[in-house]
Amino acid sequence: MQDTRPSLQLTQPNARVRLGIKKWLEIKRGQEFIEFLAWASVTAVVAMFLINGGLKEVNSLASALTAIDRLTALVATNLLLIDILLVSRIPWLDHYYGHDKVTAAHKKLGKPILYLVLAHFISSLWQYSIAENNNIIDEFFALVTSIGDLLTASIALAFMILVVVTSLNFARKAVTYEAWYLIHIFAYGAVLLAIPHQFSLGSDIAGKPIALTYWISLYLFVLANVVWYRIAKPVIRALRSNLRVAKVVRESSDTASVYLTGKNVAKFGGSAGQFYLLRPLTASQWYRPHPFSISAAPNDRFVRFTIGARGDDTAMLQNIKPGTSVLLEGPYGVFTEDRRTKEKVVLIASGIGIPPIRALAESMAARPGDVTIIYRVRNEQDASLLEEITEIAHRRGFALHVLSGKRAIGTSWMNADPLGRTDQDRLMQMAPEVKDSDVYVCGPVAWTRSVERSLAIAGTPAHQIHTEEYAW
Amino acid sequence: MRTSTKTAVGVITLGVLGLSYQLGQSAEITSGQFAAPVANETAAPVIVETPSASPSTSASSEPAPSSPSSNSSASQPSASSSSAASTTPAPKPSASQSQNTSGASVTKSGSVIESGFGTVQVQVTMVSGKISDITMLQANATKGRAAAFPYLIQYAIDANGADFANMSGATYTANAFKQSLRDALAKF
Repeated sequence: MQDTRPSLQLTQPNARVRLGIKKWLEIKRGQEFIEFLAWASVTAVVAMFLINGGLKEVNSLASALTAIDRLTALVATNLLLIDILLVSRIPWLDHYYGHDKVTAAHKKLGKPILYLVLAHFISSLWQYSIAENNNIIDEFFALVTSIGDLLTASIALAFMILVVVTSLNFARKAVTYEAWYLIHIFAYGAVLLAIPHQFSLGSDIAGKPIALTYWISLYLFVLANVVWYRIAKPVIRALRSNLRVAKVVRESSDTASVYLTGKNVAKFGGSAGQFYLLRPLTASQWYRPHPFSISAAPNDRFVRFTIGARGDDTAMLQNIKPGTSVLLEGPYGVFTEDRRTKEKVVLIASGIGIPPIRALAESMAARPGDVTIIYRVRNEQDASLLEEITEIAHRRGFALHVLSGKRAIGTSWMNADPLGRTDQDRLMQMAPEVKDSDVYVCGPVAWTRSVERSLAIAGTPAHQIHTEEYAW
Repeated sequence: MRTSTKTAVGVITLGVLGLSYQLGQSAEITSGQFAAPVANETAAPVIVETPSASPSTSASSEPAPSSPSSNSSASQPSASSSSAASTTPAPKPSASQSQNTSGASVTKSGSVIESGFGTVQVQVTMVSGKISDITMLQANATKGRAAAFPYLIQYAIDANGADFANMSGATYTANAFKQSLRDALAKF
């Protein structure tokens, strides 16, 4: 495709930004408050169990099993609802943690919840079999055949095992995305199927108005968030904006920019450095969300993504037909100026990590000389968005260092230096104030870790280092 | 979180859980299922029949336990009809379920129903078309669900039939109770 870019049209950068450590401390406070709430909810559930005399009558194997059965069920349900909340894409969770950390936490919580539910299942069954003087297998079949709510609950457990197992790292590689996604949808089904037995058989809700109110409120809160942020909001916005692919522009031999236009694109909000989940609304693609950072600051003309060829579906997306309808979910992420606390900024990108860096360079509030850009590429002639970032650096008075070519040693995150200097020395020469700067790093994971090590040695505090990790 | 915050939250949590445990030790509990109605009612349901008792309106509006957690003896679910004796004798023929419009009491048994948690069978006594008494011929329900029976009896007497709200925590037991009750009522 022809390059149809006569002269680069830039969006007006942010006029001002709030700096200082206080901003970071406020974010920390917010995180602590959220964690406190989550902790308090679990504590409250355990406290209700104890107040109701949950441990008072424990004097035999059966009564101990009953206590374990009840307690594991209560804690597991509470954690499961929190876990669903973590993937309901609530804006305040994203603001305080970032989408990547929230998703990582969601994944981490899956296994403990399953263990608790299994413990509940086994202790409950065991205890019933003691009470009815039956062996466990017979008791299981007796219960699921005579009590409908226990049949649905058992199906829910089977779903849950399936969801967790297919999400384990080794299994995730063996299962296709479609299968994994479908099974994950089952997780919602599992939660719904498990609800009846909690209310019809649960000992800790019946006749306990405070517990009943607590559980119903929690269920409704989670439901409202999932329905609103995961479904209603993106769909309503898609219907309103009628977003379509306007054009696709090739940026380098393996990258292309996709421009989206529609009504009121500025209303999508967000800021440079954030990303959207992009779903082309075609029969074979609508259920597959692809995360991409915007590669130009938010503006009222278009939303742009620059997509690298990384296998899977990126080749298809690079060749998406103009006119195709798309649905955007987002914007997400905290790789933004919102997290900046210092006057000086160092932006470091490698390869296809450039899009958010390019957008940040365009939009950050800065005076000439405040920003240093380091762009690591394999080949300067074939570097995505290089022209644009050069133009931005030139117009805004930012220093730009393009590091092209092979690296000298395996652990280096820079190219081979003809003068044989170390990465550390070169970093200090390019950005002498790196210790007192906010550093935004975007690139492959191993490379990012290597940059982080350099920054740590240079003395940049962790809260001034911003990276974007994709957790899927 | 900072270490000081973590420590504070940890200490508070331990305090809350410790206090809860203490409260739980002194709390009145039956079987972890329902807060206690009257314990011996579960074991020995009231079988007293009062043939001359008039099915007054105030008997059916006898304060039912507003919530099963109520422990007050004033609102204890009583299956006995003795409390009805003192009030206005206004015999009210009910056309709905009974042809028996005289003051005599008739007793019928429902079928034995397996709830999943045990077998349930009721015996219903009707006076002048109103349920005056319900006796549990079989009242088996594991895990403390048996504590539900006095409530179910009271609800059935209040509703004068099997159309009353289910009980959370004892849905299956309540369903079996209702089924046996319907069966008994159909025999009148």
